Amino acid sequence: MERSYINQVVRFFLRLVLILFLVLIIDRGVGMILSHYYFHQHRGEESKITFIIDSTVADVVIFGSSRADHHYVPEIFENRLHYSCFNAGADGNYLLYSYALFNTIVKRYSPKLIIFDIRPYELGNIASEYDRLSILLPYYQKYPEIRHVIELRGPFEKFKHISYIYSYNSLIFQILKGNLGSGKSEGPELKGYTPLNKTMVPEKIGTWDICDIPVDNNKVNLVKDIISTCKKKNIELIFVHSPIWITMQKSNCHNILADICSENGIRYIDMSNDSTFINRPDYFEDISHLNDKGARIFSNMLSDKISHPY
Amino acid sequence: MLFNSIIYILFLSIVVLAFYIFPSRIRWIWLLIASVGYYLSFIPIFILLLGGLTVINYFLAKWLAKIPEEKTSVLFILAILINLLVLSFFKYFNILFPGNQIHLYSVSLFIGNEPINKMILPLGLSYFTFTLLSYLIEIKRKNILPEKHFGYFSLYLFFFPKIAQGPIERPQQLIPQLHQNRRFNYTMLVEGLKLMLWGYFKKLVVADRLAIYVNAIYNNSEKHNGTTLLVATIFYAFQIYADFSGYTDIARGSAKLFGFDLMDNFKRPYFATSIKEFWNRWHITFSTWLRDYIFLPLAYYLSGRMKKTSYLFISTENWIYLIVSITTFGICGIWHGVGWNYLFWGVLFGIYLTYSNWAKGFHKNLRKLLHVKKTSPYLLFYKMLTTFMLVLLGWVFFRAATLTEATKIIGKIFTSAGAVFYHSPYDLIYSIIGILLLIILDSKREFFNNRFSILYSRYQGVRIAGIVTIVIIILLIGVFDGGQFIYFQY
Repeated sequence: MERSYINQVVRFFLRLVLILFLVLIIDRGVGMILSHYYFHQHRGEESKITFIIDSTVADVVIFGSSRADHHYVPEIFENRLHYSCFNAGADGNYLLYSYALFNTIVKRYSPKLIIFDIRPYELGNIASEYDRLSILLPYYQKYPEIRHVIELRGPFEKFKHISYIYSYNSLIFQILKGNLGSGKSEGPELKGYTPLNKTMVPEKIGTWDICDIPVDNNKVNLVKDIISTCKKKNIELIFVHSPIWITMQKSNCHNILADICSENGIRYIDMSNDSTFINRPDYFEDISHLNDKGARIFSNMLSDKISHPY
Repeated sequence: MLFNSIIYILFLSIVVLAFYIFPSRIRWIWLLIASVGYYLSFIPIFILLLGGLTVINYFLAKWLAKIPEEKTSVLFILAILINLLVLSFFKYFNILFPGNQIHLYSVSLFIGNEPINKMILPLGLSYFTFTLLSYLIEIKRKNILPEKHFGYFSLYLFFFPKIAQGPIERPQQLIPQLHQNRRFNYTMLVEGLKLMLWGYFKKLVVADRLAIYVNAIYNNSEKHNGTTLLVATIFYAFQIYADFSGYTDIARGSAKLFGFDLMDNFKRPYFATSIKEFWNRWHITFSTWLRDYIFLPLAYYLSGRMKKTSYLFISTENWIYLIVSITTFGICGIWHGVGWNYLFWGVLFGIYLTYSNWAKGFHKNLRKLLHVKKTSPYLLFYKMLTTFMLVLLGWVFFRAATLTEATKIIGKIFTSAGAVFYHSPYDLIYSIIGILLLIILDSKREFFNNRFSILYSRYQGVRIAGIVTIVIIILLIGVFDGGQFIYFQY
């Protein structure tokens, strides 16, 4: 082989190594700075997640999506059940996310009661829910117990975390906002609950045909794992389907979840089409979410059902 | 195996490394195997279709070159028809057979098979067909001889960087390169990697970010006011540009790693000062294809047929321009998709071009009357802005699901003002950052081509710093859960 040819190859690889090395160094530096400020946020969605993972010691923990976040008023559960309560619901995040948070909490302590707010198609295979797990990327390095959930996003997920910045991708402005302003957290007295205050414009009660969503076996396994962990740690577990404006067709996913619950002696409370909320637009902000008025009525009713199971 | 996936980077690295390790005489075999493998990573069954077309066209082309010239027309038309029928059959399959129960499987190496329960256009078939047509036409015109080597011919069609989404390579441009012995070339390799990096920047930082907002708005257009729809349309203009030109950069960059030069598809189209210039800068390999194989031959044919100097007080030349522009761009619209909105989008550009051609004299006189110099920066800016707005109007038809929806959106844009909707302000901020970065970098290339170069600076430190900065920006604000490239569907 000619010398100049070899020189070109060597030159190419040397430059490549140099660039990769520089990228790695800067990536580590920027990633560490972002990590520092991320975990020092005192407001915003991210600070709530960090609080749930690191600090919550509530007796009752509520998991779920925005429907959990806006439907369960911790103050009412505290008064009615005489337990401390925290609402860990998060907008646009579903079972996969809740399962990850559940893992971090039960690793630290055993709550007395865990409520999972679920949808009838909760066990459905919905690709975007895996993408949504990106909200947990900053916790990947620090919390090994949630890694296997994040790795469900794709076969290359663990390799992506070679980059430190990747975990904080698209979070610069959130981190900035979370670190600016007063040192006081937003609404700590609400204990994770976010009230909605508008009233929906009445509209015809439609039906969601969700029967054809295929079942996601990953999620079925996660539910089974949640149940077995709760049994092992002696935690009372309840799955709840909170009220919705729409009439839901019962799907395969719903039946599977109901079957798993009944096989394991777990309570499954379906209040999706409870008569109290039917045709009451004044209890809703939109077709999927109760407003604060509706949430308070629902929380009272659910507390009753929990404290008087039979 | 999308270009914006880790598996593609791994695949490309292995293919490039092995390409230079293998002796030159068998490199084409390796590239062909890799290209077929790449195609199999989508919906494998369609390889049979593309393989069949390759064999048929290989022999048709040889036959076309062999028979006497006076007999070529029938065979040529037959060859063209076969290819067009296959393309049309798949493009209109779901209209011809509504409610069909076709079951296909896509393949993912690490996830497994995924069922698809309807017929979809085989990946790259439009580009594949147009490449074949170009090959046949060039043979018919005696500009080239048919490729003798079936392997090189197959590689010309299947070459993986361009099979899915172009560029639509002319045979004269690519086939001779495939025959040449490719040696490791440091400059080409580095240039290829830089192009790819720039392509990833456009795709991940700009296109996929804008897609979040555009999809949210256009998928619920009836719920949004005119201001929001206008913002979404402007975003879409940059999204489709960044998406498609980003793809092209990755494709061209990938080809350069093997020492091949693919044709460029984009030259900063939003700096065009007329619609004609826009099409000289947008999807260049497709627009030149339309020009060379439809527009010019049709114009030539009509000029031979329309003997009078004018019809209905309009000059024959103007009539020809009108017919040819509308026909060519009508075909351009139909090629892009099934639906009246696509046809209207194409015809709209035909109308734009006809108007600018017919009103050329009027504009010249107006300019003189107003004492505005042709090179005045104000005039150029005005022309750039009006061209952009006309293109923007077209994008509404292109992005909307139907013609009715498009007209409703345009109606709202002009009648229903209001606050701009956003779910998260951050998406808007990142979108605007992406657009600004794209405009700044494109402006630099458009107006200061040889100055302030970062990736091509003569100082090595600046070049390296530029590369590292782009990588860090992609990691910081790129979208890693983005979907496929927009032009995959055409």
